[in-house]
Amino acid sequence: MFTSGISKTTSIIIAILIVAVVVGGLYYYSTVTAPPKFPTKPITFIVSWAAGGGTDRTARMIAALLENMTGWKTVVENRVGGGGTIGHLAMATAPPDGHTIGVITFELSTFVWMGLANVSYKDFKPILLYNKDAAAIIVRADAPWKDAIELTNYIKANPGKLKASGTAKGGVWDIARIGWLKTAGVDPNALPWVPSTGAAPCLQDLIAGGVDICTCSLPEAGPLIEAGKVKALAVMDDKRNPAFPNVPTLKELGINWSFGTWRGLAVPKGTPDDIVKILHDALKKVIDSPQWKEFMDKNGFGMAYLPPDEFAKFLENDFKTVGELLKAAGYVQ
Amino acid sequence: MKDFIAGVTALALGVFFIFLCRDIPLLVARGYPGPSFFPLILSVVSIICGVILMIKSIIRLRGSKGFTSVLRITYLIRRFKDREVLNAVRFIVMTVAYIVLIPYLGFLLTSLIYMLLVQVVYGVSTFKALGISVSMVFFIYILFIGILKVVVPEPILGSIVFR
Amino acid sequence: MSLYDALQLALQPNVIFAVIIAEFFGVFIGAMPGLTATMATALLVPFTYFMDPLAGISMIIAMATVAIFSGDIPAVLLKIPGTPASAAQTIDAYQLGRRKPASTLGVDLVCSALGGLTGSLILMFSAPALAEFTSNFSTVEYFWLTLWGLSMAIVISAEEPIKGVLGVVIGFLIASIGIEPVYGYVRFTFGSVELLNGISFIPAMIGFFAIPELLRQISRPHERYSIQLLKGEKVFDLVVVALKKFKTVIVRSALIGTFIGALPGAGADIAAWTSYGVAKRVSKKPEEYGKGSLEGVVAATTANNAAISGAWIPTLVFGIPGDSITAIALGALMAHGLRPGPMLFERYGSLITAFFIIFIIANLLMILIGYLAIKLSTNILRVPRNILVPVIAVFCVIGAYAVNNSIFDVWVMLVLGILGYFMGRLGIPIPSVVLAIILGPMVEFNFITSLIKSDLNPIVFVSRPIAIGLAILTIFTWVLPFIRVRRIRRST
Repeated sequence: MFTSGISKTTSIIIAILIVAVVVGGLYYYSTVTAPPKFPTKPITFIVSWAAGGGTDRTARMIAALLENMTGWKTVVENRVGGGGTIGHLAMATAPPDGHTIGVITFELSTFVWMGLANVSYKDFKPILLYNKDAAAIIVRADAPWKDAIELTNYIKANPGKLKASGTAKGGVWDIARIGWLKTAGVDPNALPWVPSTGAAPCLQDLIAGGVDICTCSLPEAGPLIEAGKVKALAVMDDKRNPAFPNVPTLKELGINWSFGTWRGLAVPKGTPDDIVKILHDALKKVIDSPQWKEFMDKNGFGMAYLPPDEFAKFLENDFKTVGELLKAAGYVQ
Repeated sequence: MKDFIAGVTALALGVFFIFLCRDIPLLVARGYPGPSFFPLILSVVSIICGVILMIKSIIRLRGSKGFTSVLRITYLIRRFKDREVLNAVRFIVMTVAYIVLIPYLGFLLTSLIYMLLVQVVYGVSTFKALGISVSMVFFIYILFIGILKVVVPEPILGSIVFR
Repeated sequence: MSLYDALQLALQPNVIFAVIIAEFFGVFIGAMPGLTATMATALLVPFTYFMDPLAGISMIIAMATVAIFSGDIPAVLLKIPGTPASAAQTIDAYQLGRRKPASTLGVDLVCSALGGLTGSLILMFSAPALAEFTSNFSTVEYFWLTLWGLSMAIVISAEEPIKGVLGVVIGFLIASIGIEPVYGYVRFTFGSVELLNGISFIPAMIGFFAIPELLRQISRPHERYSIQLLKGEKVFDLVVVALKKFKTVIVRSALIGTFIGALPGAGADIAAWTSYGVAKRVSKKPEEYGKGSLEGVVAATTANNAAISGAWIPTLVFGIPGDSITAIALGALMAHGLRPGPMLFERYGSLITAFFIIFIIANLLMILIGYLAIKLSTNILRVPRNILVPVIAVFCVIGAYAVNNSIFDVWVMLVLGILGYFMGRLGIPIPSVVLAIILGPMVEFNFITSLIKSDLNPIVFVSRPIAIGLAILTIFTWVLPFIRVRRIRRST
C-alpha cells in the first residue's frame, strides 16, 4: 500500500540511480579495455534445429572441441523454427565480425525455391563443410524387389501404386527421390511423396505398412536393418558406406545419381577474410582431431571436408540442382 | 450474460477464421484435403457453438429475471473491486514494460529493476525488495547462465558484464 | 548375462553418484516452468560423451524420472505446470494444494514412483513384444488415437461440454498458425517470420496457466496462504489411504502410461491427459474432476512417469524414439557405440540389464529426494504474494525465452496468458485448449497423410484391425455418457 508515498518514491529513484551509475561505469570500463585481437568475446554457434538433433549434436561437439583446443569461449544457440528459416536468417543477419558462426545445413539450398524465406548461400561466406550423409532407398524386409533396378522398373510400370516418405514436402529425402527417378527416366510423380515429420516417424510408418519406400540415410535406418525389419536397396552416393558394405550405390547399378544432406560452417557475408582464415584454421584442427573422428564414427555421421573456396562452389551447385529438381516436381510456382 | 459473451466471441472467431481462409486452398492436387480444410471445419464448429451458447443464454434470461439481467453487462468488470482491477492492470503494464526493455538493457538488469519495482509498488519495503531482487538475479545468473548455459538476451549495446 | 554382473555394474559408486547428482538436477529442471526434461537431456548429452556409458545414460534416466515428478511441485503450489507432462492434473493438484500441499505432493510422489516402477518392469520383461505391437501403428492408427485423445479434451471439461468443444476449437486454431506440416503451406502468419513456426507450445502453456494465476494473486497482494495449515501437515499423511482407495486407478494408469510412452511420437504429456480422461470417464465421482480430485491427480501422475520408462521400449528395440527425451538420449547411446536394435540386447546383455536396474534405483531414490524437495518447496507458500509474484513472473519469462532463445516467445506467453485469463472468466476450460494445441496438429497431419496414402479412399481408416479397435474406442467414448444417462433414468 502507499502509506509513506514520497519517501518511498524517492528511495526507488535513488536505488535505480545507483544501479544505473554502476552499470554505466562497467559499460564504459568494458568498452575501453576491450582487447583488439580476435576473438574479443565468446563465439556463438547458431543452430537452426532443436537441441539434441543431429545438427545440434555435431555443433555442440565442434564448439566443445574448439574451446578445448584454442581456449576461446564458445556458446551454442538454438534458433529453431520455420523449417530452419529462422536460424538461417539469424545467421545471415548477425554482425559480420566472426563471433557468430552459422551451422548451415542442406535446407539453405531450398528456402528461396520453396518460397519460405529470402536467404541462400549468397548471404554467407563459407568456412568449411564437415558432414555429408547420402540418401538410401529403404524398403520393408519382405518387399519383393531384389534391387533398386527392379524397384525402379516396378514404379515405372505401376505409376502411383507405391508411396514414399522421409521428410516434409521439398525436404532433402524428397529431393533425393525426385532426382533418383528423374535420372532413371521415370516421372517423379509415379512415386507420390507422403510428407512426414522426419526419418524416425517415416520408418515407423514403413514397418507399420503405411508407406512402401523410405529415402532416408543409412545410419538412421541402421537399427531396423539389424532388426531384420527393413532392407536397404541402394545408397545414393559415389562410393559405398563403410558401415554398410553390402549396400550398392545407385551409380554401380547404372543410375548416375548421388545426393544427400550436408552440414557446414559459415559466417555472414561481409566478414573480413583474415577472420575467416583464423576460424577456418582453428576449425580444421577440430575436424582433424581423433576425438571428432571417433564421435562422427560412433554416431554414424558421414565425415567430409571442403575448404572455403570449394565449399562455396559446392553451395552454388547444390542450390542450382535443388532448384531444377523442385521445378521438375512442380513445387516451384 | 457470461455465456452470451462467450457465444459472441466464438461466433466472431469463426467468422474471422473463415475470412482468413479465403485465399488458402481447401482441396489440393487430386482432391486431398488442403491447408484450410481443418481450419474451416473448426470455424464452422466455433460458429455453431457460439450460436448455441447465445440461444441458451437468451432462453435462460427470459426464464429467470427477464431482460433486466441484460443490464448486468458490467458483470465481468463489476466482479472486481476497483482496487483489484487497478492492481492487475498495473502488473500487466509493468510486465509489458519489462519485456519491451529486455533487448535494450539485457535480461539480468531489466529483471532486477522489474522485481524491485513490482515489489515496492505492491508494498514491500525498498531495502527488503532490493535485497530480494539482487539475490534472485544472482541466483538466476548462477543457475541459468552458469550451470544451464541458457543464452539470455544481451543488451543491444553489447557488454561482457551484463548479459 | 547374469543378473549378478548387471548388479555389479549398476552398483558402482560412480554410477550411483551420477544418479544422485542427476536426481537433484532433475528436481530443479522439473520445478522451473519452461525448463523441461527434454531440454535438460539435451544439456546433459555433451557431458555424457566424456563419461562411462552406463553412468552417462543413467544420468539421463534419473534426471528425466525426477523432473517429471517435480513438474507437479509448482502445479500444486502455484498452479503452474513445471513440465508439459504436469498440465493434465494442474488444476486438480492446485485445488488440493490449497488445503493440503505437502500431503498431496506426498501421494503424487509415491504414485509417480509406482508408475515409473511399473513402466520399468514392463520395459525389463516385455520390451521386444510391446515394441513389436507398437510397430503396427501407422498414421491411420495415430489418427484414431489422437482423435480419441482430443475427445478427452471435451470429457475433461467439467460441466459444460459445449465450452469444452469451444476450448478445443480455440486450441486447434492456435496450433494451426504457421507452416502447415503436410504441404508446407504458410497460413495465418500475417507475414510474420516469427509466426512461421507457429505458436511454441511451452510458452503458450506457461502463459495459459501461470499468467491468469499471477493476475489473480497480484490483484489481492496482501492475502496470504494460511501457514497454520502447513504446520500440522506431514508429507506421507495421505499415502496409505490413497493407495488403498485408488489401487485400480494406479494399476490402470501405469499400464496406459507405459503403452502411450511406448508409442513413438506420444510421450508423458499425452499419457497423463489420456489417463486422466479415462479415469474421469469411468470414475464414480466425475463431478470432482477439475475441482480437486485426488483420483485425477493420481491417474495423471502415475501415467506420466510410467510413460518415461515406456518410451525407452521402441528406442532400445528399434532405434525409433518413444518421446522427445529418448530422441535425444538416442544420440547419447550412439555416441557410446550402443546402437539400438535387437543385437543390443544380445551383445550388451548385462549392460542393458544394468540400465533396467538403474531405472528401478532411480525411481526408489526419487522417493527420498522428492521428500526433501517437498519439504523445501512448500516453504514458498510462506512467501507473501507481493514478493512471490514478481519473482515467479521473471522465472516464467526466462522459461518462455529459453525454449527457442526468442523474445517473441515471451510475448506469446504474455498475450496468451491475458487471453487465458478472460477465457477462464467466460468458463472456457484452459486444459482443453492446451490439450488441443498438442493433439490438434497431430489429428490433422495423420488424417491428411492417411488420405494421400490411400488415394482418397476413406476405407483406409477402418482397414486394419488396430485401427478398427481404436475407432470403436473413440466412438464408445463419445456415446458412453448417453448410455449412462439412460441407465440412470431406467433405474430411477
